[in-house]
Amino acid sequence: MKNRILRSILILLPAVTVAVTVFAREDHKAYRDLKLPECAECHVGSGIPPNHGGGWLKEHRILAAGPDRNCFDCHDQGWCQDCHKGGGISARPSDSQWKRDIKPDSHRSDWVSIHPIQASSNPQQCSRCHEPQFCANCHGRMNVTSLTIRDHAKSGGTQAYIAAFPDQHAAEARRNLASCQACHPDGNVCLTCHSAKIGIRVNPHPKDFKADRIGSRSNNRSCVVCH
Amino acid sequence: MTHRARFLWLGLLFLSLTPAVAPAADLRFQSSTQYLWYTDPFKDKDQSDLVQYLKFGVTKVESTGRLSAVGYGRFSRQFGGDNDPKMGDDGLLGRLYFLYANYSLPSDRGDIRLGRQFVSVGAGSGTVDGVSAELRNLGPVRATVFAGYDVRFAETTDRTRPGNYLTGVSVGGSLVDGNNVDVSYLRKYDQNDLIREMVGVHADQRILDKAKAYADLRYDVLHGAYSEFLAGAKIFPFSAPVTFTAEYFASYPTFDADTIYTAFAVTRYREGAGRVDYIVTPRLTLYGSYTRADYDGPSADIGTVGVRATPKRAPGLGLNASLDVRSGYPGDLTGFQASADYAFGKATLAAGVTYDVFQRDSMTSDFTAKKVWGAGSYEFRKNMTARLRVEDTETRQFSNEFQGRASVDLSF
Ligand code: HEC
Ligand code: HEC
Ligand code: HEC
Ligand code: HEC
Ligand code: HEC
Ligand code: HEC
Ligand code: HEC
Ligand code: HEC
Repeated sequence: MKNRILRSILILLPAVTVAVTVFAREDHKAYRDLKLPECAECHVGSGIPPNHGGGWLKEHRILAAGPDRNCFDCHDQGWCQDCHKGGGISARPSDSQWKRDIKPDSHRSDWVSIHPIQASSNPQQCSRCHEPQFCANCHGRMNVTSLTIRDHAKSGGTQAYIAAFPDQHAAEARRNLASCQACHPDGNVCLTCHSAKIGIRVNPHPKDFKADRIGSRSNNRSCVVCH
Repeated sequence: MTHRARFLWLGLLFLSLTPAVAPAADLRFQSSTQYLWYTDPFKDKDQSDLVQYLKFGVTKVESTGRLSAVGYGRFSRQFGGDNDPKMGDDGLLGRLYFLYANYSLPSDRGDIRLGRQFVSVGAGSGTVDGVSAELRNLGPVRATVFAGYDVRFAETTDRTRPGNYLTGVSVGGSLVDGNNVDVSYLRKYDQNDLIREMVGVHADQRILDKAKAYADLRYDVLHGAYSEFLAGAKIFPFSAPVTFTAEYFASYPTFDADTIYTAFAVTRYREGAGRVDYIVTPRLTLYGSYTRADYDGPSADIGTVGVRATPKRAPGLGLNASLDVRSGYPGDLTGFQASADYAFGKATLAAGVTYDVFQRDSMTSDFTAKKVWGAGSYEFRKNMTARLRVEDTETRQFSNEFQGRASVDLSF
């Protein structure tokens, strides 16, 4: 699989460098004060694909990452960082805050209770802006027994994991592994069953696990925890 | 070098640069002094912060005008906490969003940047303390490269550690008119161990000035798996600005190799989405979308409709409303949001409500959260505006969760 991809990249690269004609990039600095609906004059109007529409928050990452992006004709990096990383020098009236940080609109009303639903909608989404440690820091500070957690139940002064073993647990963890990490950042609770050194040694690896590659390239960083 | 040492070093570099060039240079500052108050979710206790933001830009540093510098950061101090340094309750905190010098190459060939900056290529993104170059008009090719210390923003500050690096490169071009292709590569290191290695491939093509098709792939080299795949099309067949978007997205979430989660099996997530955007008039925009999410077994349906309007009969008035409905795994949500803003003379007023009915699979019954907020601003002088915002939310935890902020913004 990897070889096929590398090969197609190798084929693509010369194609990009040789067969290409130069197309001047439209300088957008002149349009920076337009209202968004006014962009439609050219975007759609003269056959140029529209952007900044209703799905823009989800979509912009693709255009923002191209080597020819024009975002900085109209925005500065602060515009991006504010929404991604909580800055507030240009906070809009509608912007809500979390402590000293401004947070995006998607973080709706009772976000503390609603975020778990959103956290599993696209498993890559939260990590576009948050380090896993951000989630763990807050969960770690909460009173353990006050939390309502899927497949867990309050038991004494702590939470017990009650998923029906093994089918439900395996499926749920595979589907939502990032959420386990959000509360169990070092995964110590998993080791009783998934370590190769102690306990019942249930193999956690995927079927096509690239053991050698991950191990050798990452200096066996994670492997030594269990092996 | 520690984070602080580098911060200082860069700061000093700029300070020593500024006076030498100050007479000719064009210097702009933006400042916001904010007082924010809120309920601490951990302690059910009122707290507040004083935050000082500063952003500056220097251009025309030398005669050719190719060199410029920009910076953005803040200091904050919390009050009413329990002196828990981990929570940032104690002492002065700093966060530096960016601070870099920019050199524009002659003949619009691109830019070279040195310092802290936000970087992104198709394979991934981040913030680095380092160097980047964006090159264009070099024959047919466009390229981006960056390398530097990987900056991770933490709750109380930003952390940069020796041995944490982020580096990436992206090369692209147009094969025929209306087409873009690019290939990118990204590496991330933690304490000198390689923890992420990604390849990104992007292609898009305009079709007959009526449509655009695109595909975007992130391949995880360490795990030997597609981490994300997106394919879609935008179609705008009419002369009126109506756009239809259809997308397919698949993700196989892989983890950085410094955690044990990197070695666990995961399942693929898939989603199909359709969206319509309609700019009825420049004063009225409507949009709606439907998404079907598939969690390899359970699924969810997600819909959104929204409207943005600036009625002709009420100049200065802006209205926004949206309805989000989601049902299925791992919970249901029906949420309504509406807001209005009104500008008159030197003042603006704004207000909004949010109404969310939700039930997570782990909850035994549904709950309705309500949020109301109001805000206003007044421009005292051309370069000085004062702002105030207050919000009250009814949450599962608190029947009233108040928060607010007051700020004075200056620019010169
Ligand atoms: C006078 C015509 C014109 C106006 C007005 C205009 N654009 Fe563009 N825009 C173009 C053209 C032509 C391109 C495609 C060529 C290129 O890549 O530069 C483009 C490309 C873009 C791109 C790159 C995305 C892509 O598909 O390649 C973005 C983002 C963009 N425009 C945003 C805007 C926004 C936002 C506005 C309004 C605030 C706007 N434009 C107004 C002509 C215009
Ligand atoms: C021609 C100018 C122009 C260009 C080019 C442009 N934008 Fe924008 N962008 C705007 C305007 C105008 C707004 C609306 C600002 C507002 O709401 O105050 C906006 C808003 C946004 C928003 C916020 C939307 C929201 O819902 O709050 C994002 C995100 C964004 N742009 C990202 C980008 C990215 C990424 C690019 C490059 C691919 C880009 N923009 C290129 C003019 C531009
Ligand atoms: C109003 C909020 C907002 C603003 C402003 C904004 N973004 Fe984003 N950005 C998002 C959201 C939300 C996502 C996650 C999208 C998703 O996956 O659904 C995101 C994701 C991204 C990603 C993908 C990150 C990754 O590594 O996967 C990039 C790149 C990006 N944005 C670039 C930009 C740039 C460049 C700008 C400024 C021109 C910008 N953004 C401004 C909200 C914003
Ligand atoms: C566009 C970037 C972005 C994305 C995507 C994003 N967040 Fe956030 N989030 C923020 C910012 C900014 C804050 C404010 C705190 C900070 O500065 O980190 C925040 C704050 C939070 C908070 C604390 C605020 C509160 O009200 O309780 C939670 C919880 C949270 N995010 C969860 C999530 C989850 C879960 C996801 C994925 C569904 C997510 N976030 C996606 C930017 C983002
Ligand atoms: C401001 C504190 C805070 C932050 C930050 C935070 N969470 Fe949570 N999280 C909570 C609380 C509180 C609960 C328990 C909710 C309840 O009891 O209703 C929770 C519960 C959860 C649950 C389990 C809920 C269930 O129904 O099973 C998941 C999953 C989750 N959070 C994911 C995340 C992710 C992912 C992030 C980071 C992107 C994050 N959280 C950040 C406070 C936080
Ligand atoms: C909202 C936070 C949260 C989320 C999300 C979460 N857990 Fe937990 N889990 C806890 C807490 C709190 C405990 C109590 C023990 C502790 O403090 O570590 C616990 C305990 C456990 C235990 C040990 C239970 C026992 O009886 O000894 C296991 C196993 C476990 N979790 C597995 C998982 C798995 C698998 C996932 C992901 C599918 C997950 N957890 C997601 C908070 C969470
Ligand atoms: C009490 C023992 C136990 C604990 C604790 C435990 N697991 Fe498991 N896990 C199992 C068993 C048994 C299986 C089922 C293996 C099977 O079905 O083949 C499994 C399967 C899995 C799978 C699917 C593996 C595959 O190949 O499909 C994942 C992922 C997983 N567990 C993650 C976790 C995580 C993450 C934690 C800690 C947060 C954890 N488990 C804690 C016993 C446990
Ligand atoms: C969460 C604990 C855990 C982590 C982390 C872990 N392993 Fe494993 N591994 C196991 C268990 C348990 C087994 C099965 C029991 C056994 O073979 O002893 C296993 C089996 C294996 C096997 C033989 C069977 C197979 O599925 O291929 C190889 C090879 C292997 N691991 C390599 C690695 C490498 C390389 C890493 C680091 C990238 C790693 N493991 C990280 C727990 C782990």
